Amino acid sequence: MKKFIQKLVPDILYISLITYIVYFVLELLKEGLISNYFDLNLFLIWIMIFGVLTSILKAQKHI
Amino acid sequence: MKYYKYIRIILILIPIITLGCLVYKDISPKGILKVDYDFCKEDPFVSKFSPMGRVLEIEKNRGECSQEMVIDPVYFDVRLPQSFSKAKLRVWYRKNEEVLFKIGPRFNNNQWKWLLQDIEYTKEDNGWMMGTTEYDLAYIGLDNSRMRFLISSAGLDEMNEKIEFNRIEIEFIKEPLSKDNFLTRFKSLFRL
Repeated sequence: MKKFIQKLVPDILYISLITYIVYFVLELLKEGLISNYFDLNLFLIWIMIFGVLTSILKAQKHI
Repeated sequence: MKYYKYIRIILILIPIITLGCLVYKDISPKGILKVDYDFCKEDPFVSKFSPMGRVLEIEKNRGECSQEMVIDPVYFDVRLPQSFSKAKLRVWYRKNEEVLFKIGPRFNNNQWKWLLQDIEYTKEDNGWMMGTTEYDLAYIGLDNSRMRFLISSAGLDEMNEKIEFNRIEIEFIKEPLSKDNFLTRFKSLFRL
């Protein structure tokens, strides 16, 4: 289970990060396409949470 | 762990499907977009009323929010993903009988021309007066994807009166997406 989480959490982080960048660029290209329906700032909080979790898991792995 | 690759595929598919849904909503294939501003929380489509001073601070009372207009005129913007041909406006308000007001979008961004329409009182709804009007948007231009609306009530401050707004709902209508207009709609969506 621990191995599964150690794989899943970084994957969620990287996919979220790529999604954020793609959505951000699309929002710049066509204003409102994303932000009319979805708050990108909330998504950034999600990324930060998974960023912290990933670094904790990586630190544990190295101990 | 042998199923992990399927989990990864699902993780990748979630943002792709979400983006598809967002694009679908933005295209409005049914040709209808409803925007609703209740003054309680900011709306991505409808801006706050401005300028401050002509409208007072938003008040919250027992879960209801409202804003008073004390000086004429005030403005608000509606951010639209594309142009529409008609709009139906519904507004919830309180005012004295002698106070009249009009709401309408701006014709042209460079000129002071507005398609102002009288608000027709239709019924009372939850202690608020509800008024409606309709617009033909054929000649209304968008400025940076925004349609500017003006609320006018001539002599409001001289009469020492106010109009209290509780909610604004606008239904934008256009022809539904079909084989015939697909290309034109696609081009207008991305301003090609």
